[in-house]
Amino acid sequence: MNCHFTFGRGPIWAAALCTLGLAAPYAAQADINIVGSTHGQAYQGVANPVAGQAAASVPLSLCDAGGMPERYQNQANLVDPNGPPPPNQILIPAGNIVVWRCTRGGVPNFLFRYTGGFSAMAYGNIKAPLNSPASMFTSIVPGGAGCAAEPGGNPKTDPGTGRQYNSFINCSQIVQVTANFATSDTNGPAFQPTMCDQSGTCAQTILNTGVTAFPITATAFSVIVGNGVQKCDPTTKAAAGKISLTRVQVEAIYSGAIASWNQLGYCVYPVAPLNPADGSLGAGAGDMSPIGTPFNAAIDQSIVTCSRPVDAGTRIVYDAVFQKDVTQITTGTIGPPFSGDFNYLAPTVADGLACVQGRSAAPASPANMNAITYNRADEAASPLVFGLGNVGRMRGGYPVAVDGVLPSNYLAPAVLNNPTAQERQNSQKAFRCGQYLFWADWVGIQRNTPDANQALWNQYIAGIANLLPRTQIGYFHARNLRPPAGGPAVNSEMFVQKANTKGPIQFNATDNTSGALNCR
Amino acid sequence: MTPTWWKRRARPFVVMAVGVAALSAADARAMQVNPGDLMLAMFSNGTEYYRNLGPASTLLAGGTVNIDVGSSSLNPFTATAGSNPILWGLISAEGTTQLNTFMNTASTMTSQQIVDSQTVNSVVPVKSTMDGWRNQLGLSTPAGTEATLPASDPASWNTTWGLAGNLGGNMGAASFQGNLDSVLTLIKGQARVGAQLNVFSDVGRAVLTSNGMFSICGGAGCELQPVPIPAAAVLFGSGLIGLIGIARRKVAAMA
Repeated sequence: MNCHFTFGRGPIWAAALCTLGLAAPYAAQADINIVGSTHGQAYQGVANPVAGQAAASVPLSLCDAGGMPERYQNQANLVDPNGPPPPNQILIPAGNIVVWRCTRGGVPNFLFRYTGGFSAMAYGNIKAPLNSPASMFTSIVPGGAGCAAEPGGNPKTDPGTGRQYNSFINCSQIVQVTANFATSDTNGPAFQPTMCDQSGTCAQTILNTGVTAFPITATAFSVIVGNGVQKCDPTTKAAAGKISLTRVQVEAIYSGAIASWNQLGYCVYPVAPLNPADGSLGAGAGDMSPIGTPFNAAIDQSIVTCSRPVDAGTRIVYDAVFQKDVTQITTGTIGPPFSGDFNYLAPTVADGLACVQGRSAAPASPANMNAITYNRADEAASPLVFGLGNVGRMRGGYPVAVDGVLPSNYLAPAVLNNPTAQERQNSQKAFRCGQYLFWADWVGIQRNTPDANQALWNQYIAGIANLLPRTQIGYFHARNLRPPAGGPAVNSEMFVQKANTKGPIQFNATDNTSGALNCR
Repeated sequence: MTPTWWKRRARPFVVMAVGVAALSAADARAMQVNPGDLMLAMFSNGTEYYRNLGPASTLLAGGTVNIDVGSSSLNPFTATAGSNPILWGLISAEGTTQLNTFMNTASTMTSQQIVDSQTVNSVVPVKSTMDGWRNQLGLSTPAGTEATLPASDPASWNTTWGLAGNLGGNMGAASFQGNLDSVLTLIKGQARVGAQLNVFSDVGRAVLTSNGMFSICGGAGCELQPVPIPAAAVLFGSGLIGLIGIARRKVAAMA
């Protein structure tokens, strides 16, 4: 910008305008920093999308058309300096920190930051004043140490938006940034001091004082058991196929009142070799034995329970939705590895699945084919993070119908990573029609004080609404999006209504107005 | 009669009342309850009383331990009195894995019933609920070993364990609470011994008497000895008689 000074009052105006002109681009560069739950990773695009996938990056939709946006991600677990000292340090999982850099509003170097991990921590960040030390969370420096082009080569094409971008992974240089907004797997009041885990930690109620929490999406929960668990013939005790559970039975298992599958009339059988073999699973993982397989008394019939820590929103939602009347087990071992005990705490979403089917990669763990775990159906189903080891297609275990309904029909799509809209709709039918009762809101949280990025945040939420049908997790997702200010759902095709933190759950099992979803 | 006269007569009682009120204001959330600490609770009416008796392992090591609950400055027998008989219970739990998780509680069960009952009881849920209760009572502040709470409080015994006597539905046999002066059997429930779940054993006896004395002994079938009137009750009664005597003498002198 060239600044020419003239005489009279002109120079003053010119200087003022000149200053504004110089400053404006920087003032407009309002980076947006969001800290929240792992679930939010699903909306941040992927490092290396596969052609034909249904992925969609919401941050990319915030960038100006043209140019070449850049996506940065951590590849390894990073120690969170905001956490406690060793040995209780918090590791931010690989891939949970994403930073997008692009041009927005004609101004380059706009940064969109999202760090996922633990809902309670995000709540703490957003309840602290903007720019205060307690509002700071860990992000990565785009282009900083460790960042390298994604091995598949750049540029990438985001299937959801059709936009191109350059992808960089393995970023390890961290930076502390203030939280503009937050997300959580559950609303704060759902955290209860009676929710404790085997680390000795108990949850504390988080009041929405000074902040507003609002539902963004609704997500089904699924209960998963290892492939060793089957119904057993009441006469011969031979294997008789997949089991189902009631909510009360799940509650009894996770309270420790029921500790053997035999108490429920089910049995544990030896597993069969996986065909084809899967080297990513842990020792002992296998497929279900054929129906009619004889009962083997030498097989451990006890129930191995795999839980999540009380600072994980998934755990809190599970407690609120399933564990309504009694507390969850507080004894057991913190894994991985998940070996030698009967109850485990799985620090991350992926660990929860590894607790059942094991994992060969570090941190490795043997499988527990007599185990049970729980997870949000969308996260567990996402091939972005877990490859083939997801709920719908996980090989070492299978999702269980609860109170007679599965969160999805779990029919394999024609193209594994790219289900058609019809396949997604079919899979979501029981959930969206209100027949599957076990689900929770994913919430956005904003301060009650104005934030300069409010309009951008609103645009981001709206972007989720618009692009969700084109994300991979849309396979299991109920599109029940609502704007930050409340009001009617953006997409009203889901009729389920649920109390804010915990049942009772009411639903209207009718068709929607368009007739596109035939619930009857 | 002047106001000054009235104030002078009332002063000792006012001082005592203020002292009692101050002590009663102790917040249950100021209790520190460590894993394995045996908690005594008195309940069944609008207000409940809790006392941390210390590690169960120490109390049940052998011999008889007498604790003068009646002399507590929180006046537990007055605070917990009401239209229903006062009930009392004992609970402790600890463990890090299912193999080393156990609980101690007081029960109306006989030794044989204890042996027969294991399949209908669940130790792990009791331990888990105990963790939540310990957390609600407060783990971070070390002050205080006894407290009172309204029965409606989220951290109360009534809210946590209920009044059905089955410890929140986790213990299906007999009753795990007693009336005053009834001797209860102390049991130890282990979550798992090998492949066997909920293994129970007789580990002692306990009683809370209506004169305020709590007694506990360790060992199956141990005998609890008769206990004397608590010294505090004697002191309190003597003091009260003395105060009344002084007051009467002053009234007589002014007449």
